[in-house]
Amino acid sequence: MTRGERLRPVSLGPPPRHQRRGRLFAAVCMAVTLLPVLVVAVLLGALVQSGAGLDEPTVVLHHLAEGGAQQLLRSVVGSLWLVSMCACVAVPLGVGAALQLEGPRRPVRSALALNIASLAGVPSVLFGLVGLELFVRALHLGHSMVTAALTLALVVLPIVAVAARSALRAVPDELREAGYALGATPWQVTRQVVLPAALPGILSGTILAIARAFGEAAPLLLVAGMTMSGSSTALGDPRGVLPLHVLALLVEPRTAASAEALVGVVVLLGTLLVLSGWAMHLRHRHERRRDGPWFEDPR
Amino acid sequence: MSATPTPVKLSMHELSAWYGDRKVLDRISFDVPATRITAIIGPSGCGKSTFIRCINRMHELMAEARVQGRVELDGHDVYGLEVAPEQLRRRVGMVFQKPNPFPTMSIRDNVLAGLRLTGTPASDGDDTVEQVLRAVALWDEVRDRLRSRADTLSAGQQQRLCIARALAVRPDVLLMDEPCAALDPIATARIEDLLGDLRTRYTIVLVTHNMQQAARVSDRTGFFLGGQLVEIDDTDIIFTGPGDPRTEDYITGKFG
Amino acid sequence: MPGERLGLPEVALSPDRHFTCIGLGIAMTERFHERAPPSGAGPEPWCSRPAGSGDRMVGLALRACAALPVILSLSLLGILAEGAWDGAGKLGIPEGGLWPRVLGTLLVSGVALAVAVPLGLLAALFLSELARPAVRRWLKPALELLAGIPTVVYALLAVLVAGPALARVVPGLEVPSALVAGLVLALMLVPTISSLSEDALRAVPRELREAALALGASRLRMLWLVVVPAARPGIVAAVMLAVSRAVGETMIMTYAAGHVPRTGLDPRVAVETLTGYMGGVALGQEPGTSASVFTVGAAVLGLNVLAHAVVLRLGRRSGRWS
Ligand SMILES: Nc1ncnc2c1ncn2[C@@H]1O[C@H](COP(=O)(O)OP(=O)(O)O)[C@@H](O)[C@H]1O
Ligand SMILES: [Mg+2]
Repeated sequence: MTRGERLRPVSLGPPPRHQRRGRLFAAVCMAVTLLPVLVVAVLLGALVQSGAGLDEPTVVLHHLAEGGAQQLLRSVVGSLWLVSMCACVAVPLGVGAALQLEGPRRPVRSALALNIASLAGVPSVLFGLVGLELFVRALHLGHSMVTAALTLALVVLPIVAVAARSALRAVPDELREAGYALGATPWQVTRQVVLPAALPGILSGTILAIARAFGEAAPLLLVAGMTMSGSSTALGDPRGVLPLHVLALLVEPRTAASAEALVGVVVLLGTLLVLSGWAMHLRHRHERRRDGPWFEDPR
Repeated sequence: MSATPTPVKLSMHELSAWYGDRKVLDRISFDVPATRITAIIGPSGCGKSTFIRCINRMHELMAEARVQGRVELDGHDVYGLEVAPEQLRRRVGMVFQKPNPFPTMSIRDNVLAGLRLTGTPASDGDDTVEQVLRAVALWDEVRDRLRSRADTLSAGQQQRLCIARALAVRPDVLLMDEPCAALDPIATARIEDLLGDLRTRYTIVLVTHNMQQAARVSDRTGFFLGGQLVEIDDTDIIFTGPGDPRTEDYITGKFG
Repeated sequence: MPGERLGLPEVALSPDRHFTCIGLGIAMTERFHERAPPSGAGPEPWCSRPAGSGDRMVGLALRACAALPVILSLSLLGILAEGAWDGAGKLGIPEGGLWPRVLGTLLVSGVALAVAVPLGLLAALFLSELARPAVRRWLKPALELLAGIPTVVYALLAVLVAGPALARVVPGLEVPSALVAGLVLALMLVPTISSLSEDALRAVPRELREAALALGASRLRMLWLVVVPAARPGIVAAVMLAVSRAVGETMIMTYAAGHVPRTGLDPRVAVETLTGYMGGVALGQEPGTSASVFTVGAAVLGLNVLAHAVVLRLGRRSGRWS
């Protein structure tokens, strides 16, 4: 090696072989990431297509006019009603639990936190069993909308609590200290400093939990008193809520009623799309806002 | 700067503090004169922050934290059973190392935060805002954007806002834990000017690891080492002829 | 006739059990709150607490909220344990036994995880490390939306679209079968795994990456040897969540996995999973007693816990730096 060679700049970046391997890997990863999205999109498209392929589109229109539309509307309203009742119970309790876990002077509360986290991982059908035992049998609430809402609240509560807890944890301790140093009590600090700072996070977690409740079917299957003969769309009957109503597609496929259920699927997906979009938007905006000098560099 | 004898505002008696089993303050005893600036210097980790947080009982917010001994404010034991720490903290304001304005509040709301948080009705809110913002020499810079968010200010402005926020509660004592450590030299100089203005009205305890700063602004200086108070005296004595060789070593840069 | 819809006899738990659960729950949370600050009750007015601050009420309410999840988990355990015994004091076993359903669950979840775990991890790696910001901005939400699609819809997709389509490609495939259910389940699990793992990957500090690159590591090696190991706990948590989703998923299992309790390992035929059994009984498609449904529920919970333990174990072992 001569001196001249040594002074020449070394080529920057990894050797070409590595580079090629890296690119190939990235391409494979991208394909893999796209795959499930595309598959689901194609499947959904095919599902809608299958309904649209009904021999007589007029039959569907007729069915909808004959009360099918009304039935669909009732099941949508039923679902909204169910989900709002559920949210009214689960959201305050879940946020309250999270506040308690992340409150001032946190001693070793990890056992409680672990408990909530594992509850959030318990399959939702099992809450159906709890609802059956607790609300239908012990409290005699029957196979009612209230039972269904309370059961869903059991499913949603730990999810809300976990989301709220992580939002509260993200609030820097410096802000809490500032509040205490001004002479505020723990509750004053919580309400006026911590909650506002954590609100976007809590909100987006809550919205996602509610979206989950909106589409949840398994625990309702147990507490609603389903039968093979399918759903009832009487308002106030949990069997008629949207996620159960769309099962009519399976009972009698390719009929007018199933076309109506297909519309139900579209409504269901549309609602969830809106809810998740909203939650993502909130979270995104929140992430961008973290730019005060007290935050760690978000990378 | 001379230190004519003034009444004692704060006095520490055998103050010790622990994190879990680890003792980080060892029997600290001294007095802090009223309306003077008392600087605490010492290498990092020697317990300066812990000490200052014991004065307004912020220390006990940490899990596993424990205190022994007495801290007296105007002759009252701040660890007395009947003392509500919240009330104490309204008389003993605090400014932290990193500026920490509330990001969800406007500049104005940040100034009034102490009143809002504690549910104190602020009838003369606007007057208070102007008065304390003038006191920290921030008024002219922010008077046109009081309603904009506090995190749009520069770090130095944010720190002065935090001082204003502490003043708005009308404390007697101001604790400052390395208030300039996160600031550039110009912002630091402005805070030091401000300290000069404030010292006539407030009793200030200033933690700093910048010895020049202590020499410039303080009336008395205490030197901490390994959780103990090595010595405390008038600032010019500490910096010209300290009584303890360790102080001399630290000040002349032999360690720390 | 609401009671009969499920064909379940009314054997309510004794109420005192519920109260025991509640009491235990409160007692457990109470233990964590011994360190309440001393209340102000002294002679001196100096700096004393103003009367009537609402903090204590709020504290009580929050404490009750925190007690609730404990009560809930205790009731869950209590109800499953007690509901599994029928009136005659015998353990309710579903017709055909528990074992075939356990195997069915393992088979379907196995298929689903075998597909979803690699896909999910690669997707996470792509989104967090390799994707250009513009691609990431739309691909990430699109993938996350998949996790938000209700499982009923996945069940419909499996039975009406994916199943028939697969049957044309795979010889001997029945339409409700382990393979159909597993593959559709995988679609649902990929975003679960990818989004949590991605968070973990992104949380790895920049300094670590820079340190590796500064040592001359290639990007891939840096990812593989530094970033992924550092993110391992988060990745394991993601897989754990996916496992529990798979084991507990009910709608897909009920409609797409079939109702034939079987012990074979052939994924192309109909099987029955634990949750599928519960769904089948609830729909009245299958005979079952209350006790047998609760027994199966307990088995689901047991399997769930077991799966967590296994994944935790695997994560710990594979994570050493070589
Ligand atoms: N929250 C804490 N938990 C445990 N130890 C702590 C904590 N905060 C500080 N310490 C320890 O207490 C000692 C004194 O810390 P500190 O008062 O912050 O020092 P200084 O402010 O002088 O740098 C240090 O050794 C530090 O490691
Ligand atoms: Mg310090």
